[in-house]
Amino acid sequence: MRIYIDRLLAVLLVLGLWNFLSLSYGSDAVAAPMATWQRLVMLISTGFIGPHLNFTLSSWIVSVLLAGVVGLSIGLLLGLHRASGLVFEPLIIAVSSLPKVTLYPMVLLICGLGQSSKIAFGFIHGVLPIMLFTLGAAREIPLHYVKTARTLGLNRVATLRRVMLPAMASGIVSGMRLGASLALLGVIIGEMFGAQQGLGFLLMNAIDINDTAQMAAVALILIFLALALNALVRLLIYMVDRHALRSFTQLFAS
Amino acid sequence: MAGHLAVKELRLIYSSEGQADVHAFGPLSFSVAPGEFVSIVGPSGCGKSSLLECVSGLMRPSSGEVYLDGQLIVDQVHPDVGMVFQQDASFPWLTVADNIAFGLRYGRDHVPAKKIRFLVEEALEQVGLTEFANHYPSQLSGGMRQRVSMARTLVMRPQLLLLDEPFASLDLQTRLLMGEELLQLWRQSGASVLLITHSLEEAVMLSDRVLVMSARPGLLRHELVTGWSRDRHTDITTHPDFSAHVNALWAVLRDEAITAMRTQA
Amino acid sequence: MSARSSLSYDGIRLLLISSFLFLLELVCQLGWVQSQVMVPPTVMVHTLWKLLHSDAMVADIAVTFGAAFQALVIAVVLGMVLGWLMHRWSRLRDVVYPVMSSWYSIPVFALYPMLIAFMGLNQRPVIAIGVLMAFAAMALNTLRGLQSIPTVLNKSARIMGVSHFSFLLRVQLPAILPSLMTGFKMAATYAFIGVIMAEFILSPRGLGHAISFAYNDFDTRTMYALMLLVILVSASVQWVLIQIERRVLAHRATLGSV
Repeated sequence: MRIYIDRLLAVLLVLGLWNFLSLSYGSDAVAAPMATWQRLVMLISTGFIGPHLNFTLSSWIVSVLLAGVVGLSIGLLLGLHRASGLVFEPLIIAVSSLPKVTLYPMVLLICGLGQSSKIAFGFIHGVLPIMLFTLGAAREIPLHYVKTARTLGLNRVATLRRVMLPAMASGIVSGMRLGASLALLGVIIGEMFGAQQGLGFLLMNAIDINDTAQMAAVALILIFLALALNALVRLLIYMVDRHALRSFTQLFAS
Repeated sequence: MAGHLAVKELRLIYSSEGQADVHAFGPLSFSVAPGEFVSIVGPSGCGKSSLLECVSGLMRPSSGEVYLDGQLIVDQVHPDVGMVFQQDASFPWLTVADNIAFGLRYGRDHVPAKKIRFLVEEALEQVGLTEFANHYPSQLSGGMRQRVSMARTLVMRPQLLLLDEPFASLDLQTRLLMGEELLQLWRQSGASVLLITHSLEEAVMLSDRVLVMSARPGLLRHELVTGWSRDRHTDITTHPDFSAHVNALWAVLRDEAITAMRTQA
Repeated sequence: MSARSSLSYDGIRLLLISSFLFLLELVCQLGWVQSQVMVPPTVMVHTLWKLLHSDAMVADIAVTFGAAFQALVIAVVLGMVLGWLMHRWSRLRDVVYPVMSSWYSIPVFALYPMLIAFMGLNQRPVIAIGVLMAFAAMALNTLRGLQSIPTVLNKSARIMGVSHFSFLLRVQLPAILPSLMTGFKMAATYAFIGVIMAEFILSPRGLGHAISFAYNDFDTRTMYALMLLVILVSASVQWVLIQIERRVLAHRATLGSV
């Protein structure tokens, strides 16, 4: 109970601080919470935000699907074939610590300024954690799981499907969760230059015309979107984990 | 005389929100004479470790008193108390020598550097780790690390030495050797010892007296006097009275152990 | 893994990278890829070499490093303090921890425009973004480190009569050093990424700005040369940090192992 009160107090504190900053620096520097809220309502109710939200979300979904397919397959291969995994893992980690935004101009040159470059940005950000987590999960499958499956008479496909994938499930979904969140960030950053649509574009547009209320409103939308998608992926994790457990118990009960 | 422990009506009750109070142990009363070696045995979960922590001053009991040499211990660790735990307590970032010196350097009293060096060398000799003075705990075996903890505790010259299942994570052979070393260190230091152990043989082998605790709430069920001379070694197991003592303890403990298994999750 | 086998893995990686660069060189020189899209690695290196002799470029590089360094220092201090406070006060932890653990998914750079509006178009919002991206990792790792100190170490210190200050300095700090190193590596990565990202989005100076400027100016040679520089710097910094970590943690096994 106390936790909820504390959290409410924290939110009020943040709002209070925000309001204070707006009053001290003027609304041309920091938009007031109230003005931001009004702009937010307006953006949503007039449907103005619609096509931009659509653009961002569609780019995100495609990038996550691509990152998932590529990341899972490569991660699985590298994780199961130990030598390749050992060779490539440090390389993948090194690329992850790069400021990937420096690769953006190259992507823009290759993909052009349209939606495909935004999808590519999301892909770059998302595929790396998925690859790394899947690699780790595949590598850590206890050997005796595979041996047990063999003694139970399972062929390769069945072993993969009923023993290995469930064993890897929580590692894979942790990677997917991280990858999906980072892919969204990638898409948004991508939209912040060389774009005509999308939430990232709206943000940069607001800077150009110094519309502080728009800046704040779009920033809020972005933050809420990120948290909402994070929660959605967490829900998917929960459901997959339960299913994985069921697969396991089915196998050993048979 | 130094190292006289008196425990009077000590009791510990845990209360947590929304659940019934748990009586960990008590009321318990017993004493340890200066220079005496006393062991406490009992079933799992009977509160032995909590008892030791209350005696040391690490934990506050719900009621009752603990006196060391007439001084009341409450909420504060008495400077004359030393304690060795079951888990490895050596600091992995320090060498063996620096580990042993830690209490002397950063503890209560200010000990001059020269004296520290002397005391540490002496302690290293006592526990047989002189060649390993500059090694790190990660390079030592479990038994050796417990010896580091022991040396670190003894170098501070405690009057009362508390040991909470110090050899539990070691293999049987190492246990016997450590038991022998403990006897030696006990004789050399003249401290009083209160040892908690699961092993009845170990308790009978090492102690002047063995106290048996019941299942939760831990109460003193039985007291056994071994009657060994101070000069004993671990080969006391061959003494004719040894098995009789162990059996006597088991006769009492068995019922308590069964109760503990049934009533505790 | 023995030193020798890790050396041969390094050898394989080197071989792979060199083959990739060789192929890239070939593809570019043969004209299979347009020069507006990609330049050969040799040209990248040559252009970078020339750039490093130009004062303006060196100034930009210094600006970026300066900002990243300041962001790192602030983020490390802020993160350690926050981590320690969260360990000390569970009420604070209950409120702040859920936010910290989802921090990586929040687009903090969305606040960058507002930070510019209120701090001005100078280094301060750039450093601020670096700090915002980096401090959460430091805080979380500090907290995790403090929480994983085996209680037996705390108890032993109390029995020895160690003062509060000595306990903090001589037990807690060395005990959490492995976690602090992990946090430090992550913070260094994010501080650098954050600063470059901010400079890229909007800034009159710095490496990120220089890359963006080169792109807008259709100067692909400079652009790729600078990208190469960022890659080299990023990899070197990571390598240095790993070496430091190895030295600092040389003698430890994992805490609490028997």
